[in-house]
Amino acid sequence: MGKLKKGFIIFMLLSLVFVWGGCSNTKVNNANSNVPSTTKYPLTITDDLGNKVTIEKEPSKIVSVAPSSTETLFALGLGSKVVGRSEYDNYPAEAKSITVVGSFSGPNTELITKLAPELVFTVKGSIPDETKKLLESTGIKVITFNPANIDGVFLDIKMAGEICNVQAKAKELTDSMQTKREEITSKIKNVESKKVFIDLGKFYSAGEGSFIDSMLKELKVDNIADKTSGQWPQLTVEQIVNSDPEVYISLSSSFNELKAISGLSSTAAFKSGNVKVLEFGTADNDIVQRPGPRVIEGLEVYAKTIYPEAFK
Amino acid sequence: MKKLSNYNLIIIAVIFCFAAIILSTTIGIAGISFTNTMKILIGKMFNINLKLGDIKDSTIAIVWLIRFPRVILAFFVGGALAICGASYQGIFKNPMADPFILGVSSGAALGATIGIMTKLDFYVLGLNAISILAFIGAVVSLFIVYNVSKVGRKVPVTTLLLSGIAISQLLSALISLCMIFTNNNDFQSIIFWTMGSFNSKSWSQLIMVAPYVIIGFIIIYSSNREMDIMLLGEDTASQLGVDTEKLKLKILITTAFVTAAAVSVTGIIGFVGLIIPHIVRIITGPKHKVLLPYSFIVGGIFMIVCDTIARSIINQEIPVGIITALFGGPFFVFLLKRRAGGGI
Repeated sequence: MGKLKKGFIIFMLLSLVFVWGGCSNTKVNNANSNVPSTTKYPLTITDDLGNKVTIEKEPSKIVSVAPSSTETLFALGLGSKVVGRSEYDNYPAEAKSITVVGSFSGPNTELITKLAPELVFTVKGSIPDETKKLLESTGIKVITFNPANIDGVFLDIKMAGEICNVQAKAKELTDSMQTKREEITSKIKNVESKKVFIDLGKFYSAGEGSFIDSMLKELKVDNIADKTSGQWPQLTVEQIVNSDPEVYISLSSSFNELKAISGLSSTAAFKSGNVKVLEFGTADNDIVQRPGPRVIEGLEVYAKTIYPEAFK
Repeated sequence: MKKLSNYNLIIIAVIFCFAAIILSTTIGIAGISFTNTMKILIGKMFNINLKLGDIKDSTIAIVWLIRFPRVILAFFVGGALAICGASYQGIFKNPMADPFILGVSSGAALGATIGIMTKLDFYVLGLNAISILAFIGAVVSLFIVYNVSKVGRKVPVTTLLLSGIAISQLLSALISLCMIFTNNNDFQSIIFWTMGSFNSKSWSQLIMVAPYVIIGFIIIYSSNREMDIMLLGEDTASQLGVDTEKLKLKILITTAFVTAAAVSVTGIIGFVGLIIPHIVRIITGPKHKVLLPYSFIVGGIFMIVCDTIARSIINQEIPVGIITALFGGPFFVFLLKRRAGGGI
């Protein structure tokens, strides 16, 4: 074999290795993330809790027991297949007419079974284990999502797309979300990190490992609640004043309630008027916590509130 | 212990309380030096300008607006719950009695629930609507229990206890019912409210609670001899000349207002009212002249210690009720064992 030919073969082999390596999915999951195609059934996927679920055929009836999965289903154009939702699924407007099968933490198994869906989409913490087993014994498959960050949300949307055979739409959605995400992060590329406190109510906050914390980390925010252990720590007022946040975002207490707490007014946030109240029930309050298709809009709310100077 | 009614000892105990308050104010997550803390306290208390300029605003706020009033409030609430517990244990002759036995805590919680759900937003004397409704709920529930237990002109003690349990359960059920119809946000608020805590409590809460506690203490203490006689039983006390109905009414109304004041501001902190009087009684004996003041002092200091732990030991706020139970329980068992067979 001539030297050139040998080199050429080696070159081809190496390119093959690189192309193959580049195409393989190194992330946790099942979905083949670069080539959207038609789903082949029966399909076995692993949900975010590690459960293997086999979907026999393209689902025609789905119950969604979480606001984020309801939004995802509608965003993928599958609104007509959603036959049941949980009480607080308030977006989009079309979701309001769907049968309510119970609250986020207390889904009504009778109602769900009566609707005879093939699948139930839910998030971790929503359906208790016994309820899940009960539903599965009637032939209903339960798929649990638990994204830790925005990348996890993308994987979940793609998983939903694969399960329901709308992979192209899922890719379109996540691609546009990614574009918007890069727009935001590029705008804040040169800002100085700010200290922020997120008050979920009575000074409970989003600690290390929580979804909200992952969003703040993307924005280079110094979350004063992530020095503690646990995802949902309650901070003492002393800690808050000592950490001296520059921005205070309240997702529950009103401004009057906060003003009445002695000591908070000495923080940089209160002194400079950087106290933002996202009232419970408003769209802003929803999107900053929901790991669904509007999560990038939520990221934008955080970015604009914390770094207004980057969005002038 | 005969020496305990000695006034000198009481004065020493009171000085000890002041020391405990000051010392606890120097402890906290924000490491503030002892000298700085003392500077701030003395400067603010006596309005002297002790070169506070080089201390950060936030440090002054932490010591004067956050820690100091919180510690004093803990003292008053701990003491209040202890003397209410001691009073109930005396007039009911029941060692299991605590300040919440007559439905006061459920009434307060129901008031708070209504306040949270209706989202009323008024402030009276620095207290928000929820606290005021909790206060009203506590007093009204005691009123109901008292009237339900009335048999003619008398209110038998056993009937009071039983009605208290019944009304308490009924109110708790009503609260649970309300919670079903609330949204997630209110649901959480109600849960947080019932878990007792001193977090974010400051001067306005202290100023509201202190008068009730002080006046309540004076009224209860004034009946200390009659409460001693009540320990012999209602009938015997009555034969010995004690107007048992009037005494019961007086104690019930006073403790109702004192407990309501405490609970409306801090939520429900269990264990202190039940256990502290027993611990004190083992040392002082059952005479109320000694039992009441020492219960107040020990209850107050115990609460300060528990709250200081709750707010400083880890990087989060621990509900103080957990600490009171964790410490009080084993300590009480230890004391019981030491007393080798001595009953309560």
